[in-house]
Amino acid sequence: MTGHDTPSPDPVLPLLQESGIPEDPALVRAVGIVRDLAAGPAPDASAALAQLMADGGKAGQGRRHKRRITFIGGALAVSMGVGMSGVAAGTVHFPQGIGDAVESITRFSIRDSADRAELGPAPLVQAGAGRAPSGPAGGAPLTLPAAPPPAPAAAPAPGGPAAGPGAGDALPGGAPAPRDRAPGASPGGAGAPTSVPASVSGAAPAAASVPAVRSVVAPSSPMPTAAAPTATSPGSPTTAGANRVPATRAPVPAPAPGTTTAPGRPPGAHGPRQERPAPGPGKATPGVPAGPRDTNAGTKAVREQARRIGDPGLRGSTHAVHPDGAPTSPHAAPTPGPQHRFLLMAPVEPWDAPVLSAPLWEEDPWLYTFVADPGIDDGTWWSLPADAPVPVDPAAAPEEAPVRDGTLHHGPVDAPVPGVTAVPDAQVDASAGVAPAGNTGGAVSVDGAAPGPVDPAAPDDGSADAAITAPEAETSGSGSVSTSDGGTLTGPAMAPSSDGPVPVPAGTGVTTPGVPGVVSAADDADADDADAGDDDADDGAPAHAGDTPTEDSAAAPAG
Amino acid sequence: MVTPLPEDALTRAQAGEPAAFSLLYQALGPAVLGYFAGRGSEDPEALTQEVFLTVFSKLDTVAGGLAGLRTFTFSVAHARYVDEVRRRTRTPVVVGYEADGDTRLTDSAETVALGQLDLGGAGSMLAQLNDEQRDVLLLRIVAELPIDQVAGILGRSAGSVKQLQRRGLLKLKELVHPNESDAL
Repeated sequence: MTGHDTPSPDPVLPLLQESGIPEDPALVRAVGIVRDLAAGPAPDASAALAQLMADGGKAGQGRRHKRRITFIGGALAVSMGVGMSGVAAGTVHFPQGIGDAVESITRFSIRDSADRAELGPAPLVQAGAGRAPSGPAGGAPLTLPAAPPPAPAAAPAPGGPAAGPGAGDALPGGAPAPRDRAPGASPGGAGAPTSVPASVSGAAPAAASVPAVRSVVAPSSPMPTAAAPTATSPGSPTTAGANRVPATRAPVPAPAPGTTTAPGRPPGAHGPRQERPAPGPGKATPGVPAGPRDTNAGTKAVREQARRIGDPGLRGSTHAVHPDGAPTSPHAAPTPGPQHRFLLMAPVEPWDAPVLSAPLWEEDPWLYTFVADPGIDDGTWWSLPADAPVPVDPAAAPEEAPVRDGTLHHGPVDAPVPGVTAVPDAQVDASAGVAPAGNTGGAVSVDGAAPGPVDPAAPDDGSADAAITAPEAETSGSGSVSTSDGGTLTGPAMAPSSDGPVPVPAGTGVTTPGVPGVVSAADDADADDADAGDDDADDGAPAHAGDTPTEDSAAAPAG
Repeated sequence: MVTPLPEDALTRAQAGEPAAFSLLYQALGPAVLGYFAGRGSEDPEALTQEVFLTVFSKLDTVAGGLAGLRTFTFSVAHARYVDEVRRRTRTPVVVGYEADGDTRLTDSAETVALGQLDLGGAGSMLAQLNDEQRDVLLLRIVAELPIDQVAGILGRSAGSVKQLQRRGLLKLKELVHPNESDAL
């Protein structure tokens, strides 16, 4: 018998003693009655309690554990749901992201390679050739990466097809063969009659191919005296791009000595350009449109090239113009340094077209370049299309050429530009000529003695090139004008002049409507309309190739 | 009748022996049931089951031997009773008509006799005490807990528990000696 079995001492007495209550039998009995409440048997254990006791007290933990598991499970489900959602979202975008990445990498690689191809010394020579065709000092070729080559093929060597593949490789003066990569014809490029290297077939005579706006290479700039290098860049992988304008060029008579080929813009699309301040003679002419090039300038090749040539600031200097060997002004000493900048420019690829188009025209550095060219100023400022390199031949510019009076121009260049005569849009008689607005092919007579005869050699074959003829100067479809004095001047606008090279606004905006990636004349004109001082402001209509000379001649008299 | 409780019952129960659990239940169950009955719980047996479910599930954490187990058990019982009181006060009672609950009826002789036999007058006497005095007396007499533990369970000081205990006993004394109190 244990202690519990033996009757415990009455707890009532100690209880009463603790409370200081004297022992009372009645009270003791009453407390006893209360105490008997715990004397009964234990109630029957419920099923849960019996299970708990049978499990050794684990069941209770199981129940609590069950709750915990439920909670954890819920939290886990939530987290899993979120995780799966995130994964699903990532999965949705993943392929696209990969695609973009691959595309960007590929594009960069392509462009990078393209830029490197441009960077060779040959482009320099080539570009220089385009700029200074007949000039003796013009031997320094200049590559105009972003600018379309000035009526290149238009000036083939007399007696032979202008451009044969590789024909342009050899430049007079022993310039290294240009590694002409036909820049992709940029869509924004209106029909600037620049020769597209790849597009130009070797068999094609000197014909102005549809210029690739802001196309890089001026592969075959008309070589006045020598056989003009073809616009074709042999072996140029990019030239064969689908974006290139096919070799549709109007045949252009061989450039006479002293003829100046001016890469042209469509006659009506130049008005606004005249407002641009032009650097004085001898100043560096902006050679490359900064806008589009800026996008490319970030490329490794460009930077590397800039570094190699010692160009401290590629961006800032892009506008500085003139490349080596081909001084902008005949009076200006050649500045070899800056010319390298043009080499940095890579051909505009089709995908750059939307970016490089209109807004960049506003900033077209070629405007300055062309204006600054000596002997081209006829009192009217013409801006070169962004894609048209302006070859400046010091020799081609006659000294007696009219000097820009400054009254007609608001350019920053106060110094007269000797020997350069520009022909405003008004001077171009598209109607009398062959190339009305939108006409992809044909000859436009310059209104120097307007309406000039249509060059029979430039039939309106519907090609993107427009041949511009002047009374005394014949222009190639690419905007180059061949003068009777044997000089060739390439520029956006050249006025017919008997005593000097006649710059003729090349039909930069004259493009083949059907040519993909080429900006039509209307587009070009629209871009130019934004410029102040548009000659077309007189008639309140944007300049077009089809503008008649009578409409515009009053506004911009030919020099 | 209180089942004798071996000293090692708690140890064995903590080891997971089912027989030990049965011993603990048989030894403490009546006291817990009596506690709820003395408090006037509606369902003392159900509450007793709930108490032991909690106690046995936390048996591993109990310290202090059997005394500690007893204290812990009545602590849980008191908490359960409080929960019941709160539940009753917050939950409206919706019941159908029951003749037993109709106060307009007079209990039968049988009911009166059984009531007197079952309670022995304990319930009626405890009903005359207030809740605090009743809690202290039940824990002191039925649960056989010392003053400090009762104070711990009720959340009061030992002196307060002593005063409540004394006043409760005096109240009982008045109930068993009505004539004496009248005489006084």
